[in-house]
Amino acid sequence: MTARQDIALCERLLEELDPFDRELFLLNRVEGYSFREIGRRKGLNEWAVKRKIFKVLDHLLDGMEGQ
Amino acid sequence: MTDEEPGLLTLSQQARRWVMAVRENPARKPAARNWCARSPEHQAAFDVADAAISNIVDPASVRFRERQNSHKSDSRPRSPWAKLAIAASLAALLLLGAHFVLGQNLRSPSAPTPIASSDGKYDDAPLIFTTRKGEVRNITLADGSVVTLDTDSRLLVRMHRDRRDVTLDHGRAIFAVAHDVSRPFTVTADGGTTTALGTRFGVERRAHCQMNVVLYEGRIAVTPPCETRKSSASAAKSYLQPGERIRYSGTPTVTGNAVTEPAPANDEQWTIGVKSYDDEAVNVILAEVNLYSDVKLVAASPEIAAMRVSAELHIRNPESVAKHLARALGLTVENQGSDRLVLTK
Repeated sequence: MTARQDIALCERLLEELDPFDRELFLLNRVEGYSFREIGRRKGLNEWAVKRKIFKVLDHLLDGMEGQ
Repeated sequence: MTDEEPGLLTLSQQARRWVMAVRENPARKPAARNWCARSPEHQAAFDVADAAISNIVDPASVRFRERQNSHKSDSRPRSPWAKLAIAASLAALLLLGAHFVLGQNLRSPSAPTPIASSDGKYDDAPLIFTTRKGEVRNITLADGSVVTLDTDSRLLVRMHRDRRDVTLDHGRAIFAVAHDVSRPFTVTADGGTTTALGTRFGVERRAHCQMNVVLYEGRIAVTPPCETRKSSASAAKSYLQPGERIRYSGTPTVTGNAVTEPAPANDEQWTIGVKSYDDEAVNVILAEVNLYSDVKLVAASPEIAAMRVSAELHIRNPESVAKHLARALGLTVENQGSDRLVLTK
């Protein structure tokens, strides 16, 4: 697999995400907010935030490892 | 860990949750350690998840790339999604965490040098670097030190404010250490340490308690591997001069098992893949070549194994080595199946 294909795969996996879940994930992994802070901002409890972020993480990593 | 039912999750998924739990709250570390201690598979899954999460979707990667981009005139604001795409793409290019099958393009000599950028945020979570059989890669650490990691190796890196700790679990590496007198750079293998402030040296650990250290430039202090706690307190440090090598033969707790000797002139040549052997025994050459490939090169008899030869060989290519040795020594190469080449008379 070429580097270009790798990038295309990453982008495709990101595209497939539910926009709200993706936003939660980005707030944690890119912006560095904790689960609790995200919950406070989005009106969710910490466990719900955690569940959604883990779901996204699995989607991304399973997708990349499966290649 | 979470309120999810562990039984419904794969081992990889559970490992990812533990990695995230420790990052969210370092106080969870002991619980994560207990989980890892359940089996070697648990530990391996944790290591893979840790590398993946550090290197594929880590905020530090994004910050690194943003710093790179901040020098450019194009300063359009990026959406968070674009930032993650960059992080993921960057990671895909760099292919940190070589457990991923994605690593194919690292073999290309034009592949960019991976950057280990932990930002010091997760001081105790190591960055893990591994190489597959046949793979040799350069890694630039957050402090600017450059590591060349040889085939079939595993390295754990922890950067602290007051020190730089690297563990060579297995394999061989050369370290070009960025000068920083306030943070000693220590490489540990089986408890034996090599400490430098800014220099270039190599460490090899291919078998339990067998450690070789070679100094190319500067000055280092070395302590023996596999010392008992009692003896390590009094373990004498050995200081090497450039061009010297110290070999520990692997007998634990016995002092005096170290040999200091001039480093062979070809010691560093594995980094480029072409090695010059001067009057070397065939079995020594075969042992080194066999580190790089699943195709095993063997001598048909002890007599052939003991033959000596001078040659310049592409050590990562067993077919090429077999051909050259056969020609130089008047032998023939016999193919036994797809993964065994025998040098025979």
